[in-house]
Amino acid sequence: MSDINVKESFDHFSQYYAQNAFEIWKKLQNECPIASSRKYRNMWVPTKYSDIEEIARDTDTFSSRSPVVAEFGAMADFGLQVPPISADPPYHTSFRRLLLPFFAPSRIEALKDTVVYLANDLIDSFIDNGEFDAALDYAQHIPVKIISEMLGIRDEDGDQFRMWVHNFLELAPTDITVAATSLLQFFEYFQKQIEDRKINPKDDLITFLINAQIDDRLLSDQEIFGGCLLLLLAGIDTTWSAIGASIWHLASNLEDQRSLRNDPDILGSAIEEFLRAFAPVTMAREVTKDVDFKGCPMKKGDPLLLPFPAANRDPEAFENADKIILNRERNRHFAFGVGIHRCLGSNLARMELSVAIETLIVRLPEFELKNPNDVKWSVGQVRGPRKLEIKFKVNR
Amino acid sequence: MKKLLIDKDKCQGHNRCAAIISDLVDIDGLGFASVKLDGHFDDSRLIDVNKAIDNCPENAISIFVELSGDDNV
Ligand code: HEM
Ligand code: SF4
Repeated sequence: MSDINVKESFDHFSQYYAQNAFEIWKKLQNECPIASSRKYRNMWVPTKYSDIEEIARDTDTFSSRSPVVAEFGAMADFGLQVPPISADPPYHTSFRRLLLPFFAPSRIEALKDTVVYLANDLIDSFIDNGEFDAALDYAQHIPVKIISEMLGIRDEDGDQFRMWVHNFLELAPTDITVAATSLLQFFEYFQKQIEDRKINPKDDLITFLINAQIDDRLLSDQEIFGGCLLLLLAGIDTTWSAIGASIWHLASNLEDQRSLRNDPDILGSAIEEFLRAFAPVTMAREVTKDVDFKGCPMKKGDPLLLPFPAANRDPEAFENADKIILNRERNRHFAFGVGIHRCLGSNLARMELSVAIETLIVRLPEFELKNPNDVKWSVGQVRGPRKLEIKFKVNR
Repeated sequence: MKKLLIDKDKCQGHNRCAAIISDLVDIDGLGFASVKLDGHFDDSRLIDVNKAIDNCPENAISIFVELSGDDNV
């Protein structure tokens, strides 16, 4: 490994981190379980399962007001709120309860046929070619379609969203101009949607939020916008990444691909194992008061990264943490977080991920990476393949 | 007899239990789990119940062992 100092100059937006995250977490877990970084305003980075759990559960000391650590400042200081992920109790509890019914298992089950149809449709478009980009031609389309349907917005706007989300999550945190422009684009788009629903109510999530109440009052436009924005930010890149990473593993480990083909019953535990080993999402908190946490002098206002993916590879919490074991028995992974902010979309994400993988396995013959050295991983707090070329034999 | 317990205060609705022991848990309209009926289960389900315990990220599931008269403990 190069001599970049990850203990005191941790940088989640560096290419170095994108390419070497597993090794970096391991090194930190062994040598310096809580790293830091001056570049990000004195940010702290715990890497152990037990510390990450403790912090996620202590919502008094660690606030969610800024779930993304940007170079230039805290999200909340710019007036941007995306509840419930950026909220603390008790407001968090009320906002989350509003959304819960939309993501309960029964609601999600009803969307499954749409995902099956979509996955097959996408596969039809490349099955005769013998190759495709699993990130661009397959994985990224599935979550966009479903979230558009839930919000009641047109499919055609999907490409727009993907671009805005990409800009927002990967470029904006280190480039304040991109941050401002993408936010403005989101805002103008949703402002129109909200205005439109006020005149023509529909059976969709935006209309629901317009009529929803918290503590006997209607939501402000700002809150409706924030909620919609969050569903896009939280639902798209995350699921895209999880699907992509799972395909990447199966394409580079043919042994595992064969096991899954021969024994479809392990799909459920295999999906959980992919989620554990390639957890895409790292969240962030803000320290609310000066504390000494495990010997680290944390100050009020310091940002703190919560790399759930690192927790998932902590040897103290998982046997053979580095190994992918498709039928792992004991798997209390934190891919969806832990505690009160536990992912609201987890039932949806699991369904999309299972359908995407199962359909691919059923429809395609054995597939592998076209060029193992030419896979591109994203930078930032959502980690997944952004270029993932796959080849397979065409049966004529 | 063994009884399944789910701690309502800990459960965050990950729904891992529902995937493993769907015959023993109910999921409500918000996604939270509770035990079906009185929670008693047969020893033949013990492996799966333990699996659910080992996969609940919130540590919300446990087993309560009831000592009845004819149990030789
Ligand atoms: C594999 C895909 C996904 C992963 C790995 C993932 C991961 C996470 C994580 C780690 C959190 C916890 C945040 C924290 O502790 O601060 C979270 C929260 C959240 N996720 Fe997901 N997510 C995924 C998909 C989705 C989808 C598809 C949606 C909805 C469309 C969604 C909506 C949300 C929302 C609304 C929250 C905030 C919950 C709260 O603050 O109470 N996620 N997600
Ligand atoms: S797995 Fe645990 S947290 Fe999840 S629904 Fe079941 S009891 Fe609740």
